Amino acid sequence: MSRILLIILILLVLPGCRDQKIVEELGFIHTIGYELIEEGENSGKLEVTISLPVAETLKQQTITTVVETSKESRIFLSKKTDKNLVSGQVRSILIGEKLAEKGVWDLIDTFYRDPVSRPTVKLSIVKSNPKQLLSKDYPEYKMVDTVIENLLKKEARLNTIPEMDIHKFAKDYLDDAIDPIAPIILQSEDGIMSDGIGLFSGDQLKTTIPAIQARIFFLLTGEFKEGDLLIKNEEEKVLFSFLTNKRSIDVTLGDKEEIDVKLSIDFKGFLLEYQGNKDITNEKEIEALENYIQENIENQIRDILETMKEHQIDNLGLGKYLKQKMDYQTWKNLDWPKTIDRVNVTPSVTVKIIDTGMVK
Amino acid sequence: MQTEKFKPFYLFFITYMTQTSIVLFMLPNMIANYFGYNGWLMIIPISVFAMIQIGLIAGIYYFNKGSSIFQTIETSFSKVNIIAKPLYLCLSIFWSVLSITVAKQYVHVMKFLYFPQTNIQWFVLLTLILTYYLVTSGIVTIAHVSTLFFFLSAPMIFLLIYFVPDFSFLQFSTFVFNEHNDFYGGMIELYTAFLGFEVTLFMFPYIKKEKKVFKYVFWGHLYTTLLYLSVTIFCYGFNSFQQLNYQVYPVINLLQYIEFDFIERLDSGFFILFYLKLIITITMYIWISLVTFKRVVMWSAQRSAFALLVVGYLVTLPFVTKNELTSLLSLLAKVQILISIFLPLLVLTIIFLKRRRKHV
Amino acid sequence: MYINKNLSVHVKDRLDYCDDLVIRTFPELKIEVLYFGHLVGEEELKNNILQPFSNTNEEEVKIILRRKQYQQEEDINLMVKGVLEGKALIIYQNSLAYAVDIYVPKTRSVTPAEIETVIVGSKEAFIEDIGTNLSMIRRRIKSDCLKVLSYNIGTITQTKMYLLYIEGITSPILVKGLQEKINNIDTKGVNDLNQIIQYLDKKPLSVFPQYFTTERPDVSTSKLLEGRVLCLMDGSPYSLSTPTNFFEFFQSPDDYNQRWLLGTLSRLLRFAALFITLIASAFYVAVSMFHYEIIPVQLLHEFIQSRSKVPFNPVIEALIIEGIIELLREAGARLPSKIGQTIGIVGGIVIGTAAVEAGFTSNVLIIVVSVSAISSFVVPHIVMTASLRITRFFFIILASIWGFFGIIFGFVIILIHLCRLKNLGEYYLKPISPLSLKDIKDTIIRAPYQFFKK
Repeated sequence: MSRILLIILILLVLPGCRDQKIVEELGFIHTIGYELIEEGENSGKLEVTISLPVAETLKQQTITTVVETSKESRIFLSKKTDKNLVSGQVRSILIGEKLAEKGVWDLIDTFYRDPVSRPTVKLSIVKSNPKQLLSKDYPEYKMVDTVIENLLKKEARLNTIPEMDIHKFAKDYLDDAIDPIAPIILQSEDGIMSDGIGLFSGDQLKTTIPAIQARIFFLLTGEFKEGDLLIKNEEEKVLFSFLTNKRSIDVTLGDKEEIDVKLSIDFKGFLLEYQGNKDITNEKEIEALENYIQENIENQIRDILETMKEHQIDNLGLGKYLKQKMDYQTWKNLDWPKTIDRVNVTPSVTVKIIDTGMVK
Repeated sequence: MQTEKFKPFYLFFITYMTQTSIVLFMLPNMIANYFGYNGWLMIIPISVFAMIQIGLIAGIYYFNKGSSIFQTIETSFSKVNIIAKPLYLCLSIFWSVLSITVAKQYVHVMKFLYFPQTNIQWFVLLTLILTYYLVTSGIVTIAHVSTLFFFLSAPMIFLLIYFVPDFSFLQFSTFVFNEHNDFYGGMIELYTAFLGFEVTLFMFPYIKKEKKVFKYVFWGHLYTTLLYLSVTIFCYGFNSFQQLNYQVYPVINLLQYIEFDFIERLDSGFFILFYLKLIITITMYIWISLVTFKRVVMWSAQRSAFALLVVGYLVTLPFVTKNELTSLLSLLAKVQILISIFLPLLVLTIIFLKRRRKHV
Repeated sequence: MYINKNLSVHVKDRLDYCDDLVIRTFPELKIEVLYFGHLVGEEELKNNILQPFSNTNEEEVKIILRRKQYQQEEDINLMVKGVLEGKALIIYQNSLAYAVDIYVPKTRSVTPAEIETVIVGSKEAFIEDIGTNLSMIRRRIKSDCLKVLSYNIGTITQTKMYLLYIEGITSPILVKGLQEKINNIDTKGVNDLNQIIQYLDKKPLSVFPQYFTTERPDVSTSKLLEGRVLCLMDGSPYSLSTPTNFFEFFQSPDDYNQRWLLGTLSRLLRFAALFITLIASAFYVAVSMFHYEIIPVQLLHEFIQSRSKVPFNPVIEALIIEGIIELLREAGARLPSKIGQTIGIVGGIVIGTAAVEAGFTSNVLIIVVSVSAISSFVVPHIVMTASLRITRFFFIILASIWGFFGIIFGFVIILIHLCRLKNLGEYYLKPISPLSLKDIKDTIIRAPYQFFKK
């Protein structure tokens, strides 16, 4: 009996597996860019750009094609390369601003559904054209796509842009209590730079928050762990370095339709740089400075909330806190985030300056 | 020859390894679908119900004083063999079909995720060869092997630590079982995830007599419950509820998210490591099928195992697509639920009738 | 057979054409002495034969022959056997025979162990002479519980074998089991204990060694104390112990002689080495043929650049390099140690570097293969190393067919096989399967001695 099985085993081994993907025969797509074409004969179609490393020379190859839907792009793209294109090593997706305004879920769903591509693929919105961003020759960079990837990583760590991957985007998109966000990058004269946060309503890009305010936004989400904060007006300029940050959100449901949210942020840090007319050796003056910073931050928070209310979006996830206080039916009737107008947010920020630096 | 026996603590490994199978990978989605918000709570009552079933089996073991349940059945009435023998044959074939369907479902998922172009039958046949090899080694070796496989596959649970930073209690919300559908159907489905403990019913003559033999089955069952709970809770905390509803294999999504510096996307490795558990699950079912079969047909273990595997294979041969397999498995699992509930009850009734007859 | 007359002729007849047979006659005493010169000691010959018989007369001979060391033999077979075993046979008056044991074999002296070397601990190793080997063990176990049973193996060679065990520790079933197996060996002759093992193997088709051999007396004694049966064979500088389990092959006396923490760590290191040596090359093949997605992006670029120059399939590439490693190893084993080092340099540095530069293999593979080769040398026992080497090829081929699934498939087969293996009724994978937490203290790890059961 065991001999029969041995023979069957050998027979099974012989045909082998047809799923061989030998590394040097593959074209590892590293970055994919999508943009909507609005003019010309291809109006309404997608412009898909991919970048992949060329194995022999380790340089970046960029291929572009114009297709009706994102799903058929693979067929057209693979015609233009000698390699078998695979999506298992895709690291970032760049979406053009115009496309983002129209809606991106279809695109993301394709990646999310594909068992080969990873859920950690970074997602970002490009203000200029992704094709130009990827194919422009930067003499100082060997491969632009890896530079973009590293830039996103670094900037996310410094809290100027969110670290947004497919999983997180899908999580926030599908959740009814929060709207997704995405980082924005920009092609500038001397390279690539990050440029704040894009706020989505559903899967459509609505508005953006500039990089300066982005850190305030992360203070609100509670993700801000380290980094510098710049606060300035005409007279004064304060550079503040964070140490600890505590954030709490209190929701009180009013009698009628009113919802009160108390947003308290409590943080401590060092004063790194100060330009202004206060004497920072004086305790009282420091207190005044603290108050000044508090007020400034509170104002910025109000600005962000105003923007959100204006577009009826909730990218902070206030809905999640509301959910905790409500029963299911009330929550469903609320039709969040369209009713974000009903929420009164009172920010209260406490700042504590621990030290003012090495010199007086 | 005296039958070789194993120590009762192996029952822990056997119970746990037989209970968990591919269903673990879909469990959080299944629970979210059926029970809605905070559906993981349902694991506890269902687990308790399964525990009552184990209690029944433990009772039979206690009354039987360790002798086989077949003996109990066959010595109950004078002409019981006329009913019992065909019943045995049916049960035996049923279990063989069930175990191969379980194998096929795992193999299907593996093929879909990692070997999309390979024919599913090859993997099924390979699995059957391994099963044949293991099941003909005898129950003592199976117990040993399941222990070994337990220690090789169990450390995977520590991967959950990776998700602690991204875990958020906010995701749970305070709603309980809202957005559920088909609550009772869900309970049955969830109960099938716990099936596997009933194989201990057939092991009585092979267990070394000690105090509190069934303690270990309870521990094994509790371990399974704990695993299910922790995986589901982590899924609820890591994904948004709607997202969990959207994913078919949430646990694979979790695994895909894990990235280390030196290695990424080990989900294929981990998923295939789970094959060890699958081998034990199907071997145990084939084994009970074999034990039952040998009550009717006086063939050698090798030949009977071969025959059963061939029959099971041929019966499941036409079922190939995911939907076919899922519906077949859920049908078979429902039958198995009935067996797992009524077989112990039947045996208990026989025992009580016998006792009464003795007293009278 | 009892022959009274012409005994000398009969004996000589049996030992016909043995030109190394020495025959000394003392005609005036009617004495003939027969012995093999190379089996007897000069001193003993002088004391027992030459001196007593050269200064005597016919009357005194009878009195001398009554001395204790002269043993009268009546069976001619025993006489011949005695001569072959290094006794001197004294034939008196052509009808009476006396044997005197003056056996001193010419062997090398005890030398340090060469294969199973240790850093801390005894350096001595067994030699070819069974008596010396036995004395090394007796010197270590001064107890009357150490029992020695004697056998002769081989219908022609009649090689002496001792079966040792400690009464009260070793289970009598084991002794009986091994005795039976030894008695069942049917062969003309064996040259070494390692050949005996292959006669004893229950599953000759298994790749794993089923008996534990060692050239170290200290290891042998510890095996005896653990309740195992030990075999020694004349002409073989090894001892055999059984029942064997898998984990014995990963233990070294160093674990016990050094502090427990170091012992535990080096044991864990060896198990890690076991996995590396089995899996490393197979993992490379699986990744480069099936699971490209697990390569981190930093490594990916270098890897594909290196791979793009290689004209072969990854599996062919891996098999070629593994084959070269095997060639180097075999060449190193056959050559004298001084030249052997040159082979290492030529193979390791020259071929390795040249192969990568010529685009013959990828540099990642060179690293992988060398790491797995080094890991295989970490396993202290050469027999197990050889088994692992073979198993490695099995894994490479499986990985080339089904990727990770192939590796796991191979694992399942090997683990089931190991779980099924039994040796004299004891499981091969003992403390792990069947699981016994008590014994794990001294297999996977090496706990402090205070934790061992008294």
